[in-house]
Amino acid sequence: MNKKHKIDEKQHNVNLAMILSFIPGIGQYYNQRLIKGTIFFGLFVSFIFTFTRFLDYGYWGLVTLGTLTGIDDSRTLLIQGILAIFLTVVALGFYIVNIFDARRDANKIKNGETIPSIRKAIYDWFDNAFPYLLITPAFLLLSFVVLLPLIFMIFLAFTNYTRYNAPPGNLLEWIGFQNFIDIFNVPIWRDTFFSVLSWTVTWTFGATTLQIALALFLALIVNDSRVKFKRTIRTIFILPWAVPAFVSILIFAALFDDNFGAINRDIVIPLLGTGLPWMTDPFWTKTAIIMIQTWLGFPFVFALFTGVLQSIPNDWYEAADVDGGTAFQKFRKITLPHILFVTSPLLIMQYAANFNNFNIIYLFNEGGPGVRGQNAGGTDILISWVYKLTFENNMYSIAAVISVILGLTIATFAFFQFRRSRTFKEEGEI
Amino acid sequence: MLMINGGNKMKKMTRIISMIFLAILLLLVACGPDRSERNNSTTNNSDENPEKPKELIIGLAHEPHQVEVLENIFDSFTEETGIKVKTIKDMETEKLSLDAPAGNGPDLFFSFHDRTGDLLSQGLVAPIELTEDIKADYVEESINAMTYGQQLYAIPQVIEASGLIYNKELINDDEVPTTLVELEEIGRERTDKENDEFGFLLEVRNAYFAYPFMTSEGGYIFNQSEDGDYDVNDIGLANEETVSSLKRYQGWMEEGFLPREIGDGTVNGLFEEGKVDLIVHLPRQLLRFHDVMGEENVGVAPLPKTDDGKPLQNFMGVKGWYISAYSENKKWATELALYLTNPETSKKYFEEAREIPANTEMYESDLVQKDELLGGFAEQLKYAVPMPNVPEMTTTWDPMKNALQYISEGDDPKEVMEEAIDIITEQIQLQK
Repeated sequence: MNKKHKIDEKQHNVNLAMILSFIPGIGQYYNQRLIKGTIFFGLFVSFIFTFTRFLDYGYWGLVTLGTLTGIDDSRTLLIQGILAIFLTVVALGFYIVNIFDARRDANKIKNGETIPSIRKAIYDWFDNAFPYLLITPAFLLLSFVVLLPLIFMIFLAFTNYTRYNAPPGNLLEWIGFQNFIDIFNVPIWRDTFFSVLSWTVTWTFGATTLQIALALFLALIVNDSRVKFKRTIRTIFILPWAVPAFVSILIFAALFDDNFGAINRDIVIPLLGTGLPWMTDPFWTKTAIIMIQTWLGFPFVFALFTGVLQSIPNDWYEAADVDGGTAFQKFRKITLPHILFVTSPLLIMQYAANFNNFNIIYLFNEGGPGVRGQNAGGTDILISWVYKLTFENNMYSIAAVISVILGLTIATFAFFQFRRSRTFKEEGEI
Repeated sequence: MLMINGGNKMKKMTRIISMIFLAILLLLVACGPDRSERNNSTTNNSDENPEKPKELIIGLAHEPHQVEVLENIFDSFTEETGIKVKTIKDMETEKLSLDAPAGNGPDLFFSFHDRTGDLLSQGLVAPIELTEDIKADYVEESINAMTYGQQLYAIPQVIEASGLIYNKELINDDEVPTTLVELEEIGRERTDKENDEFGFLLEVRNAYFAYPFMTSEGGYIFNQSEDGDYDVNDIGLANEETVSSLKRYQGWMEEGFLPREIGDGTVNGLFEEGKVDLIVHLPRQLLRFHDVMGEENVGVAPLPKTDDGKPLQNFMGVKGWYISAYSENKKWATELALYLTNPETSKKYFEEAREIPANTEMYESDLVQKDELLGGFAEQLKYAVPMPNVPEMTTTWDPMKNALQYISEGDDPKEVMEEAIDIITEQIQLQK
């Protein structure tokens, strides 16, 4: 401690401290923070010794994707490259923290503040960093489970990974935006892409809006004070949610069978005299899956709405009654805004979920029936088409491109909607 | 120097710092790994008589009851040679393609012959050199199925193909149709749609089962040259013979004794309920029917022949043992594969795992040919052709299925098949 008094506080140079800490630890030494400086310098040296080879190999692999056919595995190299990027980001973060730390301490010295003991510094740091410490494991796990595959897929979109150029027997190459250009330039891709996209959008809005509308309607009715046995009715309405969706879908697929399904045999034929081509005509398949999704999806929204409805204070309605408000006005001005205010982010998620609702499309009719002259099936949405491209035709790069486009669409949509809806704004921002 | 607390200066600093850091990184990148040592370690497989390994790793893709049988066989192999056999169960191609290059893959693995092209283009399989004598020990078509570009890539273990499964309570053994005309008669006479009763059923839009009827008068998916290579640019699905076969097939639906659309589940369900006399299906489904309906009530016959006595061609599926390209014990892995397919082991496997062996001696023996259960399939296998083993084959299923849909809806077969060929050709082009 007594050494510190030897520093000429006015002469202490902040910029010099920063520049010295370009080699981590040296700036801290200049600030007379010997232990901290040693720790930083030690970390720096051990990082260099431990990871230089890893980073070197990682970046080399990421740039070249391998040079020896049959020995280098481009996929492994790609993953190591991504890990090298992760590591670089962490190291860079540490590096910058180190420089700013030197600056902060130098400033403190210059301003004549006393610098706390190392023990107190650690204590303070722990106090401040505690929440970060808690989220670190989850964050690391998330980076590996979510971020790594995501980045891997994005990178694949820029390679020539196809059936005939598949690792480990072949090396991948970077081909820039060629796959993206192909999707919009090659006629068969473009036509299929846009026809699938337009059905995907119709499907998303049709099915989701219907399931929300149905849920709202039922929630309002069940919530009416005149309705008895509310609990029983609610339980029954929530049942479709209780059965795993894929089981329901498979059973529906059997029910809707053109020749042998119960819907045609026991309902449609007695009523209309002839069965409807549920499985073989794109229009009717689309109708069927929208109805099924409405059935499958409404219970969640129904439960949500019911909960919110019960939280609306009764005196609001009483006040409206006093002012002579009609039932519709009460709904329009009190109920609806209140419900939407609370639930809109979750409703947006419903749209996003249906946009990527692979289960129902694939399990009901495998994206079929076929449409003459078209590459994808009549009810294929983008995600089920991607599945077919990947697993039936091994067109990994193109599938990755479409996935990237899908991801961007969802992300943009969600981003703007979340920003606009108030629920997700942090305190004080409203 | 004066310390300014302004943001601009800070930004500049940050930029400089990151640039220095990146410069260091770029220096590192420029080096790259030293490749010379890596090169040397991979050239150790050329030995004529490699040392006997302690252990061989084998990748399986079998049902649990088959794994049990195989494990017994591995034990006797260990007894005879002293080499231990370690198994990896459920070896999928995706897993293989990641594990093998990393050095965790099997020496020998089990797969289907139609995957050969894909496995090869991923560089996962090593060629197998066998003398003509040894090759002759296996059913010729099964060796052809495992041959790609005139090079053998696997040793066949079992073969399978569809057959005519019939309900003995509904139809006598001698009533089972042997020609298409007889089949049509059964269809006409015994179909009563009101009661869901059918003389004869198959999953009508599944090209795998429909193929023998699609090509009853001739035709092919990819043309095969004399030396066994497939020409993926020559697709024979719209030639005269196929179109006329398809018209006949379409006629069955127009006439009404074959439904226009029926799924696999419904076919099997109706058969189990005893409402269908005959269906076209695979051996593994037969085993299920045995459990449900009792062994004595189900029989198998070969598919009917054409009116002039030509057998129908269905697809032969061949399953066998591939040597991993990354194996360091290729010779001993081949030994194991040969052991697994020798007559003795084939017999044991046939008796216990109930699959038809590709080993000629066993296949031709009365034990297989006269087998109560599988004899009918074994006979049909004489006429079956291997499904093309080129990777392009997977591209054909969806377009063929859709074409069968349009045909079942009454569209002109020729037009529909030509469209299907266009789509297949286009997709093959796109995959390049």
